[in-house]
Amino acid sequence: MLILAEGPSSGFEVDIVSKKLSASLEVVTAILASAERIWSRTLDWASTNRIEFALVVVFLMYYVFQRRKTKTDMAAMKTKYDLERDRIRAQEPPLPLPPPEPRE
Amino acid sequence: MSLPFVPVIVAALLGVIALADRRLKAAAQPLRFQLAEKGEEYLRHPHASKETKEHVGFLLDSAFGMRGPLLFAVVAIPVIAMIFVVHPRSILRSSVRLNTLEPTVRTAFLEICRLHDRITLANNWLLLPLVELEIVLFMPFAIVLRSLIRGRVPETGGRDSVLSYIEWRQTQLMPKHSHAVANSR
Repeated sequence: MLILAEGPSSGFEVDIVSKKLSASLEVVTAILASAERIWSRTLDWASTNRIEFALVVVFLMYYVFQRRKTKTDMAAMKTKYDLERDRIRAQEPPLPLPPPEPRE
Repeated sequence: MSLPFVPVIVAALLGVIALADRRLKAAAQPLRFQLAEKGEEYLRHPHASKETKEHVGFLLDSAFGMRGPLLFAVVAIPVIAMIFVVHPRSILRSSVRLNTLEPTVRTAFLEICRLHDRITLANNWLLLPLVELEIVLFMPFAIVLRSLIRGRVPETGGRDSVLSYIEWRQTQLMPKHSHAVANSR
């Protein structure tokens, strides 16, 4: 432990700071160690259960795809909703429906 | 069930939940148009009060997102229950505001609130039931305590008045809604 400041009171303060620092370092080390343990266990599981791992990746990709699609859909729906509100405020007649697509 | 399948089931459930969420949000769109029509009509109503117009302005603006107010409600409902026992005037005010409205205006306002509730359920299908569960758990005790203290059973304190109070508080917190109301006049 280093006591850089002069006088007994300053040395005491540095001592408290260094104790707090070492305690927080211990906490960080413990968190990192548990994260490393979880990561290594995940890798072990993925290497022994390859099909299950592939399924998990596929489902997670599907989840991300759905979330992104939800976001874009909501943005489009909000634009239409805002337009509808503006139209009602302006007291215009309802927008004509688009013509039905011809069947092949 | 063997352990290796648990992550697969969890990931599959996430996918199903994401799909269901998207479908629900899309299914609420016709109701949003109804809300826009009835809400904007209400904002033009000459006999509607300023406070209810602000409330409707908030409902119109939050047709796509009520997550913040609902998260606030999850934390605030136990506090609201305590306020209801000790000092219920602020919560009672919402019902007093409604009672002063003309019957046709009140019906229109309640219809808008019902539409918004349904849209909120589609948008936040997990959070709204959680909030309602909290209301069911806390508010009956608050009503009973209040009745014991004051010697009179209060008329309000139900689901609608609590949700209306939370929405009203959010209206007070968000100044942008007043612009929506002002523009619509």
